[in-house]
Amino acid sequence: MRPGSLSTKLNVHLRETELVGKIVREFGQWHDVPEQTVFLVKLSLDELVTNIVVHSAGQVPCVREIVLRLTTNQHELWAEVEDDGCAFNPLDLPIPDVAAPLQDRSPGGLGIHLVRSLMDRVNYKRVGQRNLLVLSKKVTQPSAA
Amino acid sequence: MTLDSEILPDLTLAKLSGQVDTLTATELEMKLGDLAEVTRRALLVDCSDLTYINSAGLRVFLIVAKKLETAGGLCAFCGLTPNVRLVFETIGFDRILKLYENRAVALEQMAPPQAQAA
Repeated sequence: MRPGSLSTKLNVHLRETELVGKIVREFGQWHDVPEQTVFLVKLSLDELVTNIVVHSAGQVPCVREIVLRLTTNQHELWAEVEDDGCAFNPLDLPIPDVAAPLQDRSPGGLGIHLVRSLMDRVNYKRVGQRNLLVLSKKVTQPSAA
Repeated sequence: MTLDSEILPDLTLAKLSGQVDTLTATELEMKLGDLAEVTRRALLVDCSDLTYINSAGLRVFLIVAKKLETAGGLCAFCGLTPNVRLVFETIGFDRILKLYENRAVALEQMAPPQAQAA
Protein backbone atom coordinates (compact mmCIF):
# COMPACT_ATOMS: atom_id res chain seq x y z
CA MET A 1 0.00 0.00 0.00
CA ARG A 2 0.96 3.61 -0.42
CA PRO A 3 1.61 5.38 2.91
CA GLY A 4 -0.74 8.25 3.72
CA SER A 5 -3.35 9.67 6.02
CA LEU A 6 -6.67 11.45 5.99
CA SER A 7 -8.65 13.22 8.71
CA THR A 8 -12.21 14.51 8.44
CA LYS A 9 -15.22 15.43 10.54
CA LEU A 10 -18.64 13.81 10.33
CA ASN A 11 -22.04 15.10 11.34
CA VAL A 12 -23.87 13.09 13.96
CA HIS A 13 -26.40 11.54 11.60
CA LEU A 14 -27.00 8.02 10.27
CA ARG A 15 -26.79 9.36 6.71
CA GLU A 16 -23.08 9.99 7.35
CA THR A 17 -22.46 6.23 7.31
CA GLU A 18 -22.89 6.39 3.52
CA LEU A 19 -20.22 9.08 3.39
CA VAL A 20 -17.94 6.92 5.56
CA GLY A 21 -18.27 4.18 2.93
CA LYS A 22 -17.32 6.58 0.14
CA ILE A 23 -14.37 7.97 2.10
CA VAL A 24 -12.98 4.49 2.83
CA ARG A 25 -13.42 3.40 -0.80
CA GLU A 26 -11.70 6.50 -2.18
CA PHE A 27 -8.95 6.44 0.42
CA GLY A 28 -8.47 2.78 -0.49
CA GLN A 29 -8.13 3.62 -4.16
CA TRP A 30 -5.60 6.38 -3.58
CA HIS A 31 -3.51 4.19 -1.30
CA ASP A 32 -3.70 0.83 -3.12
CA VAL A 33 -5.58 -0.84 -0.29
CA PRO A 34 -6.74 -4.37 -1.27
CA GLU A 35 -10.44 -4.65 -2.06
CA GLN A 36 -11.22 -7.00 0.84
CA THR A 37 -9.50 -4.73 3.36
CA VAL A 38 -11.53 -1.78 2.02
CA PHE A 39 -14.72 -3.84 2.51
CA LEU A 40 -13.83 -4.87 6.07
CA VAL A 41 -12.70 -1.41 7.20
CA LYS A 42 -15.75 0.20 5.61
CA LEU A 43 -18.00 -2.29 7.43
CA SER A 44 -16.23 -1.78 10.77
CA LEU A 45 -16.41 2.01 10.56
CA ASP A 46 -20.05 1.85 9.44
CA GLU A 47 -20.87 -0.22 12.55
CA LEU A 48 -18.94 2.06 14.93
CA VAL A 49 -20.33 5.34 13.55
CA THR A 50 -23.86 3.86 13.59
CA ASN A 51 -23.33 2.89 17.25
CA ILE A 52 -22.15 6.39 18.16
CA VAL A 53 -25.08 8.09 16.39
CA VAL A 54 -27.67 5.72 17.88
CA HIS A 55 -26.27 5.98 21.43
CA SER A 56 -25.91 9.73 21.16
CA ALA A 57 -29.68 10.13 20.83
CA GLY A 58 -30.27 9.32 24.51
CA GLN A 59 -27.29 11.23 25.90
CA VAL A 60 -27.03 14.59 27.62
CA PRO A 61 -25.02 16.26 26.28
CA CYS A 62 -25.31 14.47 22.95
CA VAL A 63 -22.42 13.91 20.56
CA ARG A 64 -21.70 17.05 18.52
CA GLU A 65 -18.96 15.79 16.27
CA ILE A 66 -17.28 12.62 15.10
CA VAL A 67 -13.72 12.69 13.79
CA LEU A 68 -12.54 10.01 11.39
CA ARG A 69 -8.88 9.34 10.65
CA LEU A 70 -7.37 6.81 8.28
CA THR A 71 -3.65 6.02 8.06
CA THR A 72 -1.70 3.54 5.99
CA ASN A 73 1.87 2.41 5.83
CA GLN A 74 3.09 -0.34 3.52
CA HIS A 75 1.64 -3.21 5.52
CA GLU A 76 -1.05 -1.90 7.85
CA LEU A 77 -4.09 0.32 7.91
CA TRP A 78 -5.31 2.17 11.02
CA ALA A 79 -8.66 3.82 11.49
CA GLU A 80 -9.61 6.10 14.37
CA VAL A 81 -13.08 7.21 15.34
CA GLU A 82 -13.30 9.97 17.93
CA ASP A 83 -16.43 11.58 19.38
CA ASP A 84 -17.21 14.15 22.07
CA GLY A 85 -20.08 12.26 23.71
CA CYS A 86 -20.40 10.71 27.16
CA ALA A 87 -18.01 7.86 27.95
CA PHE A 88 -19.17 4.90 25.87
CA ASN A 89 -17.09 1.82 25.18
CA PRO A 90 -18.83 -0.37 22.61
CA LEU A 91 -16.36 -3.16 23.43
CA ASP A 92 -18.21 -3.55 26.76
CA LEU A 93 -21.33 -4.71 24.90
CA PRO A 94 -22.11 -8.41 25.43
CA ILE A 95 -20.64 -10.84 22.88
CA PRO A 96 -23.38 -12.68 20.96
CA ASP A 97 -23.40 -16.49 21.09
CA VAL A 98 -22.52 -17.20 17.44
CA ALA A 99 -22.73 -20.97 18.05
CA ALA A 100 -26.39 -20.91 19.19
CA PRO A 101 -29.05 -22.53 16.96
CA LEU A 102 -31.21 -20.28 14.76
CA GLN A 103 -34.18 -20.02 17.12
CA ASP A 104 -31.92 -19.02 20.04
CA ARG A 105 -29.98 -16.39 18.11
CA SER A 106 -30.61 -12.83 19.21
CA PRO A 107 -30.38 -10.20 16.47
CA GLY A 108 -28.52 -7.74 18.72
CA GLY A 109 -24.79 -7.20 19.18
CA LEU A 110 -23.78 -8.40 15.72
CA GLY A 111 -22.18 -5.13 14.67
CA ILE A 112 -19.58 -4.82 17.37
CA HIS A 113 -18.86 -8.55 17.14
CA LEU A 114 -18.07 -8.07 13.44
CA VAL A 115 -15.68 -5.20 14.20
CA ARG A 116 -13.90 -7.18 16.92
CA SER A 117 -13.58 -10.25 14.71
CA LEU A 118 -12.70 -8.68 11.37
CA MET A 119 -10.07 -6.21 12.58
CA ASP A 120 -6.70 -7.31 13.98
CA ARG A 121 -6.95 -4.93 16.92
CA VAL A 122 -9.66 -2.70 18.37
CA ASN A 123 -8.89 -0.44 21.31
CA TYR A 124 -11.02 2.01 23.23
CA LYS A 125 -9.67 4.94 25.24
CA ARG A 126 -11.37 7.83 27.00
CA VAL A 127 -9.18 10.85 26.25
CA GLY A 128 -10.29 13.92 28.21
CA GLN A 129 -13.92 14.47 27.23
CA ARG A 130 -13.71 12.29 24.13
CA ASN A 131 -14.13 8.64 23.18
CA LEU A 132 -11.41 7.24 20.95
CA LEU A 133 -11.59 3.93 19.11
CA VAL A 134 -8.52 2.74 17.23
CA LEU A 135 -8.71 -0.15 14.77
CA SER A 136 -5.93 -1.75 12.80
CA LYS A 137 -5.73 -4.27 10.00
CA LYS A 138 -2.55 -5.82 8.59
CA VAL A 139 -2.48 -6.30 4.85
CA THR A 140 -0.66 -9.30 3.43
CA GLN A 141 -2.44 -9.84 0.13
CA PRO A 142 -1.32 -7.94 -2.96
CA SER A 143 -3.18 -4.71 -3.66
CA ALA A 144 -6.07 -4.73 -6.13
CA ALA A 145 -4.28 -2.16 -8.29
CA MET B 1 -30.53 -1.74 -2.59
CA THR B 2 -33.06 -3.45 -4.84
CA LEU B 3 -35.09 -6.59 -4.22
CA ASP B 4 -36.73 -8.28 -7.20
CA SER B 5 -38.95 -11.23 -6.51
CA GLU B 6 -40.35 -14.07 -8.52
CA ILE B 7 -42.93 -16.52 -7.16
CA LEU B 8 -42.20 -20.02 -8.53
CA PRO B 9 -44.43 -23.07 -7.87
CA ASP B 10 -42.32 -24.41 -5.02
CA LEU B 11 -40.46 -21.41 -3.77
CA THR B 12 -40.18 -17.66 -3.80
CA LEU B 13 -37.02 -16.27 -5.32
CA ALA B 14 -35.74 -12.90 -4.16
CA LYS B 15 -32.81 -11.28 -5.95
CA LEU B 16 -31.09 -8.85 -3.62
CA SER B 17 -28.71 -6.35 -5.25
CA GLY B 18 -26.55 -3.43 -4.22
CA GLN B 19 -25.81 -2.30 -0.67
CA VAL B 20 -27.78 -3.12 2.44
CA ASP B 21 -26.93 -0.72 5.25
CA THR B 22 -28.60 0.88 8.25
CA LEU B 23 -30.56 3.23 5.96
CA THR B 24 -31.92 0.53 3.63
CA ALA B 25 -32.37 -2.29 6.17
CA THR B 26 -35.87 -1.13 7.19
CA GLU B 27 -37.04 -1.32 3.59
CA LEU B 28 -35.45 -4.77 3.25
CA GLU B 29 -37.17 -5.96 6.44
CA MET B 30 -40.53 -4.84 5.07
CA LYS B 31 -40.07 -6.33 1.59
CA LEU B 32 -38.48 -9.61 2.69
CA GLY B 33 -41.03 -9.89 5.51
CA ASP B 34 -43.86 -9.55 2.98
CA LEU B 35 -42.30 -12.23 0.78
CA ALA B 36 -41.93 -14.54 3.77
CA GLU B 37 -45.66 -14.06 4.41
CA VAL B 38 -46.70 -15.14 0.92
CA THR B 39 -44.15 -17.95 0.74
CA ARG B 40 -45.72 -21.24 1.63
CA ARG B 41 -42.59 -23.36 1.74
CA ALA B 42 -39.30 -21.76 0.92
CA LEU B 43 -37.70 -18.41 0.28
CA LEU B 44 -34.42 -18.26 -1.62
CA VAL B 45 -32.44 -15.03 -1.43
CA ASP B 46 -30.00 -14.70 -4.32
CA CYS B 47 -27.09 -12.57 -3.05
CA SER B 48 -24.83 -12.77 -6.12
CA ASP B 49 -25.19 -9.01 -6.74
CA LEU B 50 -25.18 -8.02 -3.07
CA THR B 51 -22.05 -5.90 -2.79
CA TYR B 52 -22.32 -4.82 0.86
CA ILE B 53 -24.22 -5.71 4.01
CA ASN B 54 -23.84 -4.51 7.60
CA SER B 55 -25.28 -5.80 10.87
CA ALA B 56 -28.62 -4.04 10.27
CA GLY B 57 -29.12 -6.14 7.13
CA LEU B 58 -27.84 -9.34 8.77
CA ARG B 59 -30.35 -8.75 11.56
CA VAL B 60 -33.12 -8.73 8.92
CA PHE B 61 -31.89 -12.06 7.49
CA LEU B 62 -31.93 -13.57 10.99
CA ILE B 63 -35.44 -12.30 11.76
CA VAL B 64 -36.90 -13.50 8.44
CA ALA B 65 -35.19 -16.92 8.65
CA LYS B 66 -36.43 -17.40 12.22
CA LYS B 67 -39.96 -16.39 11.25
CA LEU B 68 -40.06 -18.78 8.27
CA GLU B 69 -38.58 -21.66 10.23
CA THR B 70 -41.14 -21.14 13.01
CA ALA B 71 -43.89 -21.30 10.37
CA GLY B 72 -42.49 -24.61 9.07
CA GLY B 73 -40.78 -23.05 6.05
CA LEU B 74 -37.19 -22.39 5.09
CA CYS B 75 -35.14 -19.34 4.16
CA ALA B 76 -32.01 -20.06 2.13
CA PHE B 77 -29.31 -17.88 0.58
CA CYS B 78 -27.22 -18.40 -2.54
CA GLY B 79 -24.44 -16.78 -4.53
CA LEU B 80 -22.67 -15.03 -1.66
CA THR B 81 -19.63 -13.06 -2.79
CA PRO B 82 -16.40 -13.81 -0.86
CA ASN B 83 -16.76 -10.65 1.26
CA VAL B 84 -20.37 -11.33 2.20
CA ARG B 85 -19.54 -14.99 2.89
CA LEU B 86 -16.74 -13.93 5.25
CA VAL B 87 -19.22 -11.75 7.16
CA PHE B 88 -21.74 -14.63 7.35
CA GLU B 89 -19.04 -16.96 8.68
CA THR B 90 -17.81 -14.41 11.22
CA ILE B 91 -21.19 -14.30 12.95
CA GLY B 92 -21.90 -18.02 12.53
CA PHE B 93 -24.66 -17.57 9.93
CA ASP B 94 -23.07 -20.32 7.82
CA ARG B 95 -24.03 -22.74 10.60
CA ILE B 96 -27.62 -21.63 11.19
CA LEU B 97 -28.73 -20.55 7.72
CA LYS B 98 -28.92 -22.69 4.62
CA LEU B 99 -26.34 -21.47 2.07
CA TYR B 100 -25.90 -22.63 -1.53
CA GLU B 101 -23.06 -21.84 -3.88
CA ASN B 102 -25.29 -20.51 -6.64
CA ARG B 103 -28.88 -20.30 -7.78
CA ALA B 104 -28.78 -23.47 -9.94
CA VAL B 105 -27.51 -25.62 -7.05
CA ALA B 106 -30.06 -24.08 -4.68
CA LEU B 107 -33.01 -24.69 -7.00
CA GLU B 108 -31.95 -28.27 -7.57
CA GLN B 109 -31.44 -29.02 -3.86
CA MET B 110 -34.54 -27.16 -2.72
CA ALA B 111 -36.90 -28.91 -5.14
CA PRO B 112 -39.52 -30.98 -3.29
CA PRO B 113 -38.74 -34.75 -3.02
CA GLN B 114 -41.25 -35.79 -5.72
CA ALA B 115 -39.67 -33.42 -8.23
CA GLN B 116 -36.20 -34.75 -7.41
CA ALA B 117 -37.35 -38.32 -7.95
CA ALA B 118 -38.96 -37.50 -11.31
